[in-house]
Amino acid sequence: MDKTDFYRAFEDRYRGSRELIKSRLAVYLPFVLPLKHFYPDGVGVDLGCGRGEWLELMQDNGLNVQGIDLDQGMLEAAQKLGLNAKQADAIEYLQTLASESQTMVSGFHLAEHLPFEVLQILIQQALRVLKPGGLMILETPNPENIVVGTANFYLDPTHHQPIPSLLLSFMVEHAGFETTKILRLQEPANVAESDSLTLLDVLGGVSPDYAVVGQKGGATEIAAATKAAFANDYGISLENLANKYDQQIKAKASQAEAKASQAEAKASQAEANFTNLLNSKSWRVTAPLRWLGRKVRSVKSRSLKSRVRSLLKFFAGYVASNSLLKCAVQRILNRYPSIKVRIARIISDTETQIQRTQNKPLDVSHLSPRARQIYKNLKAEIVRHQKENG
Amino acid sequence: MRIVVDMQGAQTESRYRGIGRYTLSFVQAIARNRGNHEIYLALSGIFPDTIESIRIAFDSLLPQENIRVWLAPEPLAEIYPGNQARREVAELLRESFLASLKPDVIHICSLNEGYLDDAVTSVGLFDTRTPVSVSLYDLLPLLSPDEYLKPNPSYAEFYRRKLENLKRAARFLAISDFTKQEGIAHLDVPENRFINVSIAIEQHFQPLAIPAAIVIQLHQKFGITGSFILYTGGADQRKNLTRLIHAYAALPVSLRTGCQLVFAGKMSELEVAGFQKTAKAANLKPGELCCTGYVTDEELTQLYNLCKLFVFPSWHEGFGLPVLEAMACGAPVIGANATSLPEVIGLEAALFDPMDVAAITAKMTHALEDEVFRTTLQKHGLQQAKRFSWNECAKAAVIALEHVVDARPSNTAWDDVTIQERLLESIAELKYAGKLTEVDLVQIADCMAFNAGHEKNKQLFLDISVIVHGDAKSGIQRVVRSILRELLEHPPLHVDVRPIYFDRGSYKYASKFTASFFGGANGEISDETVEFYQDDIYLALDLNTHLSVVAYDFHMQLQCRGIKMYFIVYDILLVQHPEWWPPGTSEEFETWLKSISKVSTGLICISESVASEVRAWLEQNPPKRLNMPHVSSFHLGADVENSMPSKGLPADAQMVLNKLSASTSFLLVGTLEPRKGQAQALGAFELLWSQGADLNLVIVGKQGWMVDALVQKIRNHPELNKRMFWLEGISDEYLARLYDVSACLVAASEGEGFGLPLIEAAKYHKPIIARDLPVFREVAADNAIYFSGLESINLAECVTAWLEQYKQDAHPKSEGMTYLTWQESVMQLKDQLTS
Repeated sequence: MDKTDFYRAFEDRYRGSRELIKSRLAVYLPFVLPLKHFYPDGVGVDLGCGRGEWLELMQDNGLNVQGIDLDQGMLEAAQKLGLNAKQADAIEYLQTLASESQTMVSGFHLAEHLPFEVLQILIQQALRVLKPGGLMILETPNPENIVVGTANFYLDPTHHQPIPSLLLSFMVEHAGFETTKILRLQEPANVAESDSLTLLDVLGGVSPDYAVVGQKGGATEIAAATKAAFANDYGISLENLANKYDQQIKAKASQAEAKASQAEAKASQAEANFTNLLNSKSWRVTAPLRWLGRKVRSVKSRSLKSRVRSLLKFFAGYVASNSLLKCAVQRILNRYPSIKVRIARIISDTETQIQRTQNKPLDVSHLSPRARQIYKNLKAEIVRHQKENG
Repeated sequence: MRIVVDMQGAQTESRYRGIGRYTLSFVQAIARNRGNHEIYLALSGIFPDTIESIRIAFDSLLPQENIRVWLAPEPLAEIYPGNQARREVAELLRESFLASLKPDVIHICSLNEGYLDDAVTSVGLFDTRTPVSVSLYDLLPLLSPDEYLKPNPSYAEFYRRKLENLKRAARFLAISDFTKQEGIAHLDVPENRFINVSIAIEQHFQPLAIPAAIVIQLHQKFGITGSFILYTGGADQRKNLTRLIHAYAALPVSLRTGCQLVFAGKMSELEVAGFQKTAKAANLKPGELCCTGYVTDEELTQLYNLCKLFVFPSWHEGFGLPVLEAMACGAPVIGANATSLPEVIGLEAALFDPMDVAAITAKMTHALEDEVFRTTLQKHGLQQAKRFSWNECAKAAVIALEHVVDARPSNTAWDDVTIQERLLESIAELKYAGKLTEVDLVQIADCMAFNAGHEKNKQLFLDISVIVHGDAKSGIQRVVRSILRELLEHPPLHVDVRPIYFDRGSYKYASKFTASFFGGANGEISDETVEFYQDDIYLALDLNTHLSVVAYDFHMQLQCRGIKMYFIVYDILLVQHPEWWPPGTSEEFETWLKSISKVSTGLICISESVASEVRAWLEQNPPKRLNMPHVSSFHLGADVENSMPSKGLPADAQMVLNKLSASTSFLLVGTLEPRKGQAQALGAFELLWSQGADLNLVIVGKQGWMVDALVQKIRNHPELNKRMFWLEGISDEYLARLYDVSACLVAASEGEGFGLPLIEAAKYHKPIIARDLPVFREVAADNAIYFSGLESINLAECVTAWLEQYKQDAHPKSEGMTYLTWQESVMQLKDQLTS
């Protein structure tokens, strides 16, 4: 395949079909259509017209634009469609044009192919050749889109370096254009509306292209006519997308938090229900059986354990009363803290530990005589009342 | 008349919100303005952590006996259906308890308690005689059922029942005129039952000069960048914050720039997110609406002071306390012209229609633009705030209560027997009485006993757990027995002295022990569980480090329930000089000291020296509690005869006594321990002997601990049994004989709690050489000669000096020393307990 066809094939694959490109270019119509009204016979120039999508769109809309390109292969495609395209160098061609002779000067995906100084000259020349109120449109990849700026931009080996929108916009303003506007373009449709952005969306969903539209001064009526187009918002910035992503993450986190709280509340409720179960009549009714079971199990080993316990208690008392012995025993026990703890527990009776945390009587035998009497009276009264009333 | 106030509003979760804090301020003001009336406070024992702070809040306003605690079985929260039977019983227990206080009128500070927590309130379920007044804050759930009741049927049922109870009240003390009118309109009860007693705010809300550093801090902490419009007060629907955000968004840009809208106070994450969303939709820039989250009282006061404007757009309030707080701080305040706000703000020009966003915007614009208007608002606010004071509320309340009591015919007060009988009947008549479990019944009986109070006298409990479990006859235990005997024979007036001991989780009366203590039989006696009532006194006589750890929770519970807890402190040498004891001992002691400092009403020390040491220790180790225990002292008795002295002389006793009477003999009495100074004494006498002095040194005392070197020295000493004697484990009789033949007692201890040996010496008319310790000075005063310093030479020089005086009979005599009998000693102790 020879070089001329290479670029065409490359564009066909990576830049998108003709129809797609044309539909995207429609975004500029609100800017350029007023020019038709004020300059009915006006002509414009499209630098680096390539396959001629812009030329076609302008032709469809009754605007006369001359296309310029260096690439023979591209030009053939455009000429085959009957479009007005010829081979020339962009800067040289501009220099041949008379001042204030064009209604518009456009360059789509041209700027990134030019060295900086050449781009500057191009912008200056464009200003010179434009009529008052005329427009310059320069569209180029948007390095603000992280995937574009770090990778996709470099797919085309003839690109020089990414041009941040603020730089291009400043260049246009500085050259002397009265009004400039940055339009972010070609972002995927779903990203703007999506309420479940992914990280990849943030990295690659910002508008991949942008354009700077500059308007030459000196024509207040035309300026008024294009004011609305200039006032609109276009595209998605990185800041917006990142913030949106942040908010969605935070909202998800809140939701998760709320769900966790709910779950916690449910767990507490379950716990309470469980406690109620323990307090419930059926559980209590079977309590004596369970207690009995425990006692039966412990009685078997009880005799040995209780003998050991009372022996330990006796010795503990003896040791405590003899200061010399106590000191010696303490010194030994201190070397084996776990044993010391076990002995202390055996002596103090673990039951004490259990009751210590409850501090409430659980059984009639724990009551004082007076309370016991009240308990008896209360029970009797309840029973009597139940009988009387069935 | 007697007013009984139900204080649960200050005990439940409400205590963290307005109702709790205002309950406290309101009742304090009533106490201050009571005139000749009596005020009693009823506290639920189910919230023990809250009791101490309430007691302290009323410490200078009411006698402590007027603060009464009542018990009920738990749990009771209405949200759990399983609590129903228990809760209905608790309602009766509470009402019967209040009736037993013989009130002329009962006031309930917060009726709507007990849905999520274990509080219980009711009117007229048991006591239909005593008029009840209830504080009325608002009727929001009744008037906005869709928001408060529909979503939660069980809460709706709870609220319905509370309203039923509410309608039985004799008086409603409304917090605003508006609430009063709402009550009249919606409660279907006679109009004359309603009084507006108003409400007030805390003292700290006032105009302040805020230093620049604090301003910067506040700004940084909350994200405030400049001037701001402030709102505080929760995020309910009725607070109308969505409209406020829209109104703010509609402000002219010039006013809005650099002037944020700040919502102060805790709001849930969801609420904040919702407001931020509304703000964004209204095109506010991020940060223009600022939600601060929780703010402390101090920060809130500062925010009120710093804001440019305070806006309160709530369409339904019972009062609207933030408005009053803001006005009191001198903030310009604008608010809704609805419900209670007009009467609180009191200025037509400051009001707006809360439903009309444009009106809110207009009012805010006016206030922000017009400095004269703002100044008017500020000045008016400060004046208006002065009209609300707790004293005024309290006076109005007291008058209202007087009227309700006057209007009733004179009652026969409930008598206690009737209350108990009627209570049993009422419980049995409850629909769900049959559902009460065994454990419920046991606990109900326990609570009923406690609530009924003493049948006769107050009790003074003597915790003698250690000697009940086995008397080791140590010095301390001899003291315990002496005090016990004395108190049993001479109890304080109208007080029953009951020895008790701790056994497997609870206290029992030491009836068996006491019987045998007096030499009687104890076969038929059983030790019953102790009945603790409020106003009783607990006194721990012994040093029982183990017990206080195990019984700590129990002790805390007693303290909460109004039992005074006293502990005798013999000394705190273990924390001051842990090196005098085997390693590990002092940790245990420190734990004991820390736990009793936390739980005690008072610490009674055995000398003023120990008392000042304890006070100093408390200052350095402040226990986590709201007020310090009271530290006092008394002196031990010295009539040894009453402690049952031992007898018996060893075979060589006479020989020793002969040797001692042959020349001047010095007596040293006490267990051999590092601190007792025996090593220094021995060293001193070695010096004297090397100078040729003909003196005897008698060391009386068993080997203790950490004295191996000294014991070696003594055992191998050339003078042993010649001019130096070491007598271990001798009887009291032998000791008496030793005193007889000795010329002087040497008290060389480096630290003591008291100084019984000095008193002993005085009784034997023996002169004393004592180390110059504050406690020895306290006991002996000028009736001894003192030395200081830890070197042998220090003591040797003192002995030499003393001998000079002794030869001329010019030495200080100990006869002049005053000491107490056990009767006198315990008299001092009784004073400490009853003061």
